Amino acid sequence: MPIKLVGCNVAIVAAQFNPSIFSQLWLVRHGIVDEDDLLEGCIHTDQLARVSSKKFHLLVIPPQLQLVPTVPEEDEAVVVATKVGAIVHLLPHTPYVAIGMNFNWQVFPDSGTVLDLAKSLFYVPTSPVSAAVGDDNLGLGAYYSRDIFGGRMRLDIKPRSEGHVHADRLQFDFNFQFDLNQDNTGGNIRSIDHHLANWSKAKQESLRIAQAAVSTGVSI
Amino acid sequence: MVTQTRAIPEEAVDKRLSQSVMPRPNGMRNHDILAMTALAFLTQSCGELASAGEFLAQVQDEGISRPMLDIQEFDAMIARPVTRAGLSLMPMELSSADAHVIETALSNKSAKPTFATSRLPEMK
Repeated sequence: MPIKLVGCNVAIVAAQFNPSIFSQLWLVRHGIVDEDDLLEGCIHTDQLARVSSKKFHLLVIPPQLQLVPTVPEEDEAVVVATKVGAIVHLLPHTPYVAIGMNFNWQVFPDSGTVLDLAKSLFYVPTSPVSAAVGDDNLGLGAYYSRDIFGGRMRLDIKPRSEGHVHADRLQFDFNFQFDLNQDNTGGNIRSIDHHLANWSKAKQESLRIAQAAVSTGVSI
Repeated sequence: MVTQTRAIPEEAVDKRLSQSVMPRPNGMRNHDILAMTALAFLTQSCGELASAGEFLAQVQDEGISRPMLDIQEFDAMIARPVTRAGLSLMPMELSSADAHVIETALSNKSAKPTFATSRLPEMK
């Protein structure tokens, strides 16, 4: 049963970012991006900054900053920690609220339909909700959340399609969120550094859980 | 309200881009204000800044000091070509009243506004 990563990013939520700060000049001068690494497609306005580089994509809107590493997997953690870490250290007075890490995995059934797979994983025939919903062209998913790594993991699982009429895969959308206490003494910056170090662990945990669907051994 | 740290949806990007080019109530766009204030600032205040850094520029309008620009990475080398300087200057959140004051002041040749600069507090 194939499984593939279709997206991952780190997101920082703040009471207010100023996207105008994130000019190419500012990023280059502070060593966040090498001048030679800049790619086409950058956008800079007072409401949005989007920077594409060979190592990451950065998107900033007033409530949120998002970085998508585009390096080989073994280098992801370093890029996340050094680039996002550098930005928050350069903007210590930004009122940071929370940090999140998102991983999106897709699981494709070897045989049978994605509904068969979803049913084998989540369907409870005796559930009154199942009975009430019925099974006419049924779609099925799940939601889980739990505490982990000092934060909260949330997992949405839904059938997805891509250019097909019918869903042909299950998508596992993981969000690891670490809320930050309001702190004027630099504690938030240290907390962000601490949580950024969880990137590899969080990614491995998300893969481990998604792989559980692959290794169910259920005959479809 | 529950904080969400999921990926920024495409709709949010579209919305922000739309807001960036929406006309101000008085008909001015952000970039109009930016260009006008950058030009005025350069012609009147270029040379007053010590070096690169983050500064707060204020326009003195009839004795009232109004925050106008938050200048990032300003230096003489960047400032010379006005177009490049425009990229280095950014407007702060301007109310329509502030925008109107700036527009009026900059278009009135007999009463140019006076600019003052100071480093942002966190840079002291």
